[in-house]
Formats: sequence, C-alpha cells, structure tokens
Amino acid sequence: MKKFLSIFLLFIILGCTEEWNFYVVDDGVKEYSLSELKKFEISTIYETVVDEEIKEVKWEGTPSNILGKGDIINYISEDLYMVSIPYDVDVILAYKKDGKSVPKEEGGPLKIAVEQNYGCKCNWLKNLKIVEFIDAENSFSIYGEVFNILYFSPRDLNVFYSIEDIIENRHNRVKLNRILDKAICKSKAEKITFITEKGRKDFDLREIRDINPEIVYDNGFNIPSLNLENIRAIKIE
Amino acid sequence: MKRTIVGILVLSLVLGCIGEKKEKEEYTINITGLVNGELSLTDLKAMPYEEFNAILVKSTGTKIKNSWKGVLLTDVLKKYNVTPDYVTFVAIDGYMSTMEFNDLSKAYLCYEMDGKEITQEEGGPIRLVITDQPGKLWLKYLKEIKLLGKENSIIIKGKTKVTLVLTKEDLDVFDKKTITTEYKGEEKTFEGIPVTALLNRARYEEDAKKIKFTSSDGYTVEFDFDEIFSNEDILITKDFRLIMPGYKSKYWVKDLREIEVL
Repeated sequence: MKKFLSIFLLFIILGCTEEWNFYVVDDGVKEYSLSELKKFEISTIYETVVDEEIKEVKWEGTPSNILGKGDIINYISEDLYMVSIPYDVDVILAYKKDGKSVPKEEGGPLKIAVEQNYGCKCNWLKNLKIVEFIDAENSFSIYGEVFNILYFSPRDLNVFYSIEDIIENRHNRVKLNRILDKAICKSKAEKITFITEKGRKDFDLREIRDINPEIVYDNGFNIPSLNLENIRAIKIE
Repeated sequence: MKRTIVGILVLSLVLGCIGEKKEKEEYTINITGLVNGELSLTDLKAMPYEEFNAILVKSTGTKIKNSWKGVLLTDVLKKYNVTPDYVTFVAIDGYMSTMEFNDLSKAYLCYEMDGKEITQEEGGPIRLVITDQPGKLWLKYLKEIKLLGKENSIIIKGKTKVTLVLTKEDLDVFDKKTITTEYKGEEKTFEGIPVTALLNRARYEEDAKKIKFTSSDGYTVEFDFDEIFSNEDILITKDFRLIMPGYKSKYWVKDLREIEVL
C-alpha cells in the first residue's frame, strides 16, 4: 500500500514538473503544452556567462517567429512581467539548458533566450506564459526615458490583472500610471507626450501622474478625460 | 665569485618575474573603430585617477552607494587624439551598449571599489561607471571600447525610439537579401540589408512622415517614410550604398552615413 502511495506521489510530482501550458496569441488564441512545443524545429542560442570562469551556455528551443507573424512580439511571464521585442530579432522559447530541462530557479521549464547582441539580459523573460504577435498599427507604444520599451495591444490592457484575463480579453481599460510603471520611467523623466493621429500633445509628467487618467480601448486607444483620441504612442522625456 | 652569484641570482629573479607575467596573461581592453589600441590594467593603473562616491540606480529603483577609483574615459582617449560621435562598450559576456560621446563626460574605467580590487562577480577587473547614468549602463568586465563616427558607421536617428549606430561588421547581424534590377541600363545583382529591417530595429516613431538619406559628402535625398518603409527591395549594401530599384540613379546614394526619420 505504502509503495503504491509513493509511486502515485512520484507520478504527481513528475506530472507537475512536466506540465506547463502556454498560449500563442495571433489572430486567435492557441494553447500549447511543452511537449507539443518540442515537436517544432529546434534552434540554439549561446550565452557567454562570466562566473569564476568564462563559459558558454547552450540554450535550445523553438524560434518564436515560426509560431506567428507580427511587427513586434510580446512575451508575458506567469507573474505578468512583459517585454516587447521586434519580430526580426532571434528569440527562442527555450526549454533546454546545456542539454537538460531548464531548472525552475532559472525560469524553467520555459523561458526566452535572445540573440546576444540584442539589449539587456532583462529581456530573458522567465516562466513564459504568453507569446503574442503584435500588429504595430493596432497597438500603442511607450518609449523614451523608460527602461522597458513596450507595445500594448488592446488585449494587453489585461496584463495588470491575470493571465486568464489576457486570454479572455476581459478588460478594455486601465489607469495610465500602471502603464507608466510597467515601462519603468527613469527618475529624470519630466515630460509626457501623447502621439495621436491628430498630432502631438505634451504634458508635465508629474501632473499627469497626479491625475492618473484612464486609458480606454474603443476602436482606438483613448483617454477621454484628457480629450485624447487614437493614441499611437506615449513618449517620456 | 660573489659577484657572479649575485648576478645569476638577480638574473634568475628577473627571468622568474617575466616568466610569471607571461603565465598569467594580463587583462587588456581593446580600443577599436576609429583607432586601434590596447589598454592593459597596468597601463590604466599608471594613469592619473580619481576617487569618488557614486550611486548605482537599478531599474527597480534600488540605490547602492559605493566608492570608486578609476580613470576618466576622456583621459584614456586623449593620447589617440580622437573625438568619436558615439562609443560602443562591449563586455566579456557579449553585452553591449552604445552611447553618445557627449553623454560620457562622467564615464570612468574603474579598477577599485570600496578600496579593493573589483572582483569578477562585481564586474571587475575593469568596470565602466557613469556617475550621471542609470546602473544598467555601468558595464561589467569591460573588454572593448569601440569608437564610432561618420568615418566608419551609419547612424539611424531622428524619430526613432532607439538610435542605431552600425559599422560594416554590425550589418552582418541582419539577414541579407539579393535582388536583380536595372541600373544605368544594365541588369545587375545586389546584395544588402533591407532598409525596412533597419527601421524596424531602430523602432521608428508612429508619426514618422519623411525619411532622409545623407552621404559622407553631405549629399541628401528625401522621401515619404511610408514609400520607403513599404518597399522591402530597398537595400543597404555592405559598403554603405543605397540600392533603390526602379528609381533614377541619383537616388542611389553612395557612401551613406546617416538615415534620419522626420
């Protein structure tokens, strides 16, 4: 009986470590398991790691651009961190590190690895849950004096709630400060410019933060309380 | 007799030291791009230094205060008598960052932190510290300082979210495309990088309207942004030449140095 129980437990444990589903969002939403992902072609990215010695780490996984098409790809982690990376940058959904499964403490079982000459290691998102292909025309971006340049699709307004909310696309509005915090404004930033189809409009960043208006998607990104319609980008300076 | 022994002793000591030095190869930074040079840790330590306190600001907002000892980048470059427009710093692990030279007046190459040599974990033996910039730009284990200017690179700037400075070698990172087209009445084949790919990498701003191409001698052509961006056959060759299939030859800018989005 005891033996049975332990085998049963072992099964559960093994089951839990292998079980990892994630979503690909393009025109629709498709759910994949890790084992389905492993059937796609494999690509490799090497990382140079400086520890006591300098060594090369081999990451293997699926190139993300074979899973869909877009101008930008957004990657979202289980804890709702998000990065936006241009479509043509080599990124893999990595499930193997030096031939073994990616350990949990390093963001396994699924994380992203990015070609070495592209930006900061902070792009190597861990515990990947969503890969979303973004059409630049149907999104707005936030950039300038920020640490994390981001593109938001209408669906990404849900990134402040939960993975499920993103998948179900439940919300179409969020407070602007939450977007500013997601992009992480640099402390010297003072000015915020909204780039709309009608032109540019500048505000004092602190004043806007105090007002903390709501941004709403309704056939375009709008901030009704500031009379801004069809926002295409937010520039922080 | 005594003298000989002393002589041999001194000789062996000297040889011993040289031998040891060879064994442990010295940490050296390569200076590339507009000039070529090397800067070893010993060279760096022999230069006039400054000691100062600086606050490292992490992207999470955490602040860490340390005391540093190092040499101003501008002092390191003095002997080369060169003023670049941009500088790319490369770390041992391949991490890179490019900055405008004007923003580097407070950049130091540091070799001591809190009174001790900088360990590899802390980013040593030489770490870049830029006292008026965020910690993200304080490159660890600095290995190469690449000096860039109009002489050796193309700059993509203006209404872009990222300014790109690309040398000929940097162009190798992008996927090449080959097209056959008519040029001055002859069928010719060209290989290059689509301008579209470069504009995507620079992340053009949403209200980009015009695009301007300028050569090293100041020759300029201007187009509607959408016209150029939507045409994936427009290429830049490895020798910085603009390939404009279907356009008159005066638009095929040679020795391209600047792409400005307006």
